[in-house]
Amino acid sequence: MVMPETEIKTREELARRAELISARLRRTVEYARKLGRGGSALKEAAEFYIAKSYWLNWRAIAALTGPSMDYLTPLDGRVMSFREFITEWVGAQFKRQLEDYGIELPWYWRYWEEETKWWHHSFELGIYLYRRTLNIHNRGPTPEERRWLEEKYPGWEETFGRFWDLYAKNYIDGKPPLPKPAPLLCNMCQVPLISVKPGRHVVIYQKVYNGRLYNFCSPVCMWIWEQEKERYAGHMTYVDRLLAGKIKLSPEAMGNIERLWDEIIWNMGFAESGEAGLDATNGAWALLYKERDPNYETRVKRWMEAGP
Amino acid sequence: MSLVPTIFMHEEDFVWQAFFVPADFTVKQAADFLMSLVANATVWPKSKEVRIVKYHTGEVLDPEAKFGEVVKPGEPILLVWWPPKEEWWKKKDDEVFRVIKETEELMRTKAPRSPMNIFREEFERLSIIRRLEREGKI
Repeated sequence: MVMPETEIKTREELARRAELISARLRRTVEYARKLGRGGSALKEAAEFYIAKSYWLNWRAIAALTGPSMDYLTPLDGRVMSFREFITEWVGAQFKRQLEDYGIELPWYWRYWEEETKWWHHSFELGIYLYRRTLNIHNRGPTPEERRWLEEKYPGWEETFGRFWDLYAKNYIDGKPPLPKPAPLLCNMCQVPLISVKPGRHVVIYQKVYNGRLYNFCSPVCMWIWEQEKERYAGHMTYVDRLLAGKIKLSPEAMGNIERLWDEIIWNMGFAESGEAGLDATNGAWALLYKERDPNYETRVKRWMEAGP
Repeated sequence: MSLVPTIFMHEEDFVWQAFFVPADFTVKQAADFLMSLVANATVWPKSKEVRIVKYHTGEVLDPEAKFGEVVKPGEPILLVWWPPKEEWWKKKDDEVFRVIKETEELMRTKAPRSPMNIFREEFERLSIIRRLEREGKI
């Protein structure tokens, strides 16, 4: 039987790509061996770059994929939670690869594992609240989605439910939830300093260098910064620039917090219509709590009375 | 009016926030002012007093003290419902805090150094900029 020309071309292309991948893998393995022969200093350097890259990539992936998978994907389209995904598809595979090359796991592995349980939930609370400063639209979880979150992350309701109930109440009372102060940003990863897990699990790391104060969200970010401080010392986050008076605001903004936020959004280059992030449902998700959640009122009473 | 750039977090909040507080405010005025920024935004309002605790030392600030005299710019402070059932800000012994403490220890004892630190002597010896500095040319 004669194969059609398109199939021959596909097979040739596949063979070519397989050869390319295999050559790259061979070079990678050879490079790893060379590093091994180079002694402990080269191995330490490789471990530094791996640990640093893994951490900064984790921040990016947790910030982008965490909220997308656990909050913005429709419930019937969810095949796994972000934590299940990150633990198996990223963490476990990465661990196996490092073992193959005789490279040690990043020293902060347990801290990373702890963050996979909570961090992106705190981050989602933040990007929802500060949505006007981002050019993405967002929404809160429905009562049904909250049940899914509690099932996937036991303890979610107790830890994060209070915040979503507050945001929902704001909408129900006709006041879309918006922040007043600025979130403090990490001088390494540039992400807000959020709790490892809300409920008093608060950390903040600080360093003074050449007379300037730097803030970090985690021991890992502080470690990366300390190892290469000359490289990062000059950078100022948006909030650093705001606090240092480097962002020009009108005198009117200084006495009016709504005006202050408007000017910050304009300074960031966002116009309200279509550029600054909005609630894509205009708060409809929150109104569902009044209609469909028989426990909502009881919880509200509890949050107003109890401590964490 | 002198303003203190302030980093703060309420005990029921999830994010460190930054704002300016007038230096001549009393600590009580500062606590009420900061509380007004987060109440109904990230923290449920309650009819309770709020006090300020220094994050690094755990010191509870005197409500009558001048804010600008007891809090340095950028010094992190906690807003705490008062009176608390216990000094929870000093009690950091659950599983999450154990992981945090263990990681802080590993940062000191096990974390690898960057190539700049491992090969600092070589960098200093081979750097053209350093040589020009030694020769007084830059």
